[in-house]
Amino acid sequence: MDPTIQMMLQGYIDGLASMKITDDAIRQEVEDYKKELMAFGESQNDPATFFPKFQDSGLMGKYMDLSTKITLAAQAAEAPAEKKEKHIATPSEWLEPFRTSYDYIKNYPIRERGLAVYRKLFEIGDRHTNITEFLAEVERENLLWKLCSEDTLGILDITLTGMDPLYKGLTYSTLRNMEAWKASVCDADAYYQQDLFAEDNAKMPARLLQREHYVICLGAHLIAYRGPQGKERIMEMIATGNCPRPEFMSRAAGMVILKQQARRTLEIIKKSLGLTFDDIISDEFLKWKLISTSNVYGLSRAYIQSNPNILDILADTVYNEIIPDISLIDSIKREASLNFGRWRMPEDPEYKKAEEIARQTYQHLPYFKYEDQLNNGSIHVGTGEGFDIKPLAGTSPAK
Amino acid sequence: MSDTKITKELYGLYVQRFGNCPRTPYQAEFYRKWLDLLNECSSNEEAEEKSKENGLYTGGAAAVALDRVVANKQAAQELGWTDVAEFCDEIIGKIKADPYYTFTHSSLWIDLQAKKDGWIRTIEGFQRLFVDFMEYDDARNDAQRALASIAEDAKMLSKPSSDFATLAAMPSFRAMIDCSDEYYREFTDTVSKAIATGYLDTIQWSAESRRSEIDELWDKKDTLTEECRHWYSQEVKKPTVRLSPETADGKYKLIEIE
Repeated sequence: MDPTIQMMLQGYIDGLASMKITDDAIRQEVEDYKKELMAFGESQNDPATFFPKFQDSGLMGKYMDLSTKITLAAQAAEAPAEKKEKHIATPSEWLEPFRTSYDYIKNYPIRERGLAVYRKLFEIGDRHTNITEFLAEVERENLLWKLCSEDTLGILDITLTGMDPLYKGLTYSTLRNMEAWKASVCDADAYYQQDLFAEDNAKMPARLLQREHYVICLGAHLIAYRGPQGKERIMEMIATGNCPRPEFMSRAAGMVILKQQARRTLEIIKKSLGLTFDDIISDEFLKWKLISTSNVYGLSRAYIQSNPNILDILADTVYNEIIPDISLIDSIKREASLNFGRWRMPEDPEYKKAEEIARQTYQHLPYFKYEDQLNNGSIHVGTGEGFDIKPLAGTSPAK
Repeated sequence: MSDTKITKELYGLYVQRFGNCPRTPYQAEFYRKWLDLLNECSSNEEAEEKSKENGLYTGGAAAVALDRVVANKQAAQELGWTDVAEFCDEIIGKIKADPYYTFTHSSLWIDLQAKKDGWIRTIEGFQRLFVDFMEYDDARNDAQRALASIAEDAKMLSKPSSDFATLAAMPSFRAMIDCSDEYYREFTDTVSKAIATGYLDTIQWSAESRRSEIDELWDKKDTLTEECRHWYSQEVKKPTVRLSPETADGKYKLIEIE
């Protein structure tokens, strides 16, 4: 057997060996399992593909089942033979584990909504000595569920402030997840809501992003036609007199083709979405997809891009060159009179400056106050007994 | 308030919450039975003793597990995930036969999730195929790349069918794509053909039809020198940072980077 695989399997065998097995039938099951495990290990020779195959084989699941079975049997065997007098916990005793959680969570002010529920729970605990009266008051406000739901909603709400609110393809996921949590009243309800959310989350953000995809394609053609690799390069060659014919002819032919491609993309956008260029350029979000931008802060809160009048330049290109399909000579002649200025893409030091401008603008927003806590890996959406912990959804910054 | 009265009130609250939630019929029933038992008994202790005889004492864990499966089943039914719903029925049967089934077979949750993942992956695959089509259709100049992407993404389709055309004909899949019916037909026809034949048309982009225009530009370039020098003397604009608004009804703000 491959030594790495053997080492991995030995970990499982050691795990079972460390457990106290009180039932002979289970002991036999463990022995059978070990044989099955080793036979599987012998059949594998690539450590890199071993783990997924191990999961698919069902042996990993079987390990979990067997471990639980051993634990339950041991607990049953250790049950006290004599009936002891039953101690009924006071609210204060009952709340002890919650205080431990609270002491840990209070280091994360981002979880204030969850912490507020804990404090309410403790406050109710302080008012009662009878556990049943205490639990009834807690139940009236469904506080045990709110420990989980409010905590999650608070984190999602804060996460949202780190996002560009116009970027629906990005915010949808978080807003929809919040809807699911608000609609849930207990664990089972959350499982139901989270399945509906998962399905919707697979569908909608991608659907919202489709629209911008067409515009990105159009923008790529326009920038290649009009920008430093297209018309501007030809004009630079003429202006400087450094004009090698092969490059000149190739760039001119490129402009002709890019114009045809931009016209085709405009037709596709009209045919598929019913949108004209007027519609795109008047859409506050969509119009910026025409140009290449990079996120420099938060979850697409701020972007760095070329010159400020870039959209005016591209709109002029579409209305006065692409749609009327003017000649290359006319295109160059008119450029000089436009006084748009020349453009360039941002350079490395400017990314830092852009980030600093964004930081100063948004530092008051909760996401940026708590960004360290969100990114240190200790914050997850969904806690609470029985409910799976899920990583924050919809927080990947779109570049 | 006596202990029994408080306990009845507490269990009444549980009945109310779980009874009002369509996802928790078993917990509602569990607490309803407890409430009935409390009503029959004169003390909490008597009710507890009787609950040990009728199985109610240990019934809570099974009720929680059953409701979890019920919740999964209801979502699956609503979403049309038939095999997930059937699997949930199987689990419900097993928990009813063995209340500790979910504890001794905790891997069932992994199996359940794997069944759900098939449906989600199909949705993702279908949408990826549309992006493959959009990227191809934009210029139709790279059929090989498009065919490779389509072949790869078509492998993600499995539930309720692995057949692209079957899925494309379903209203729920149509609703995932943001385009006109005409363009949707082009998408489905093109991708179906690509999957079936491994072939896609290409456009041979050429500037040949405008050759005279290009030649004219070369020939007259010297007459454009003045315009080009004027343009070349213009300022090179500085890049910009674009700041998003704080709310969705706002506008972006541009700041030139000094």
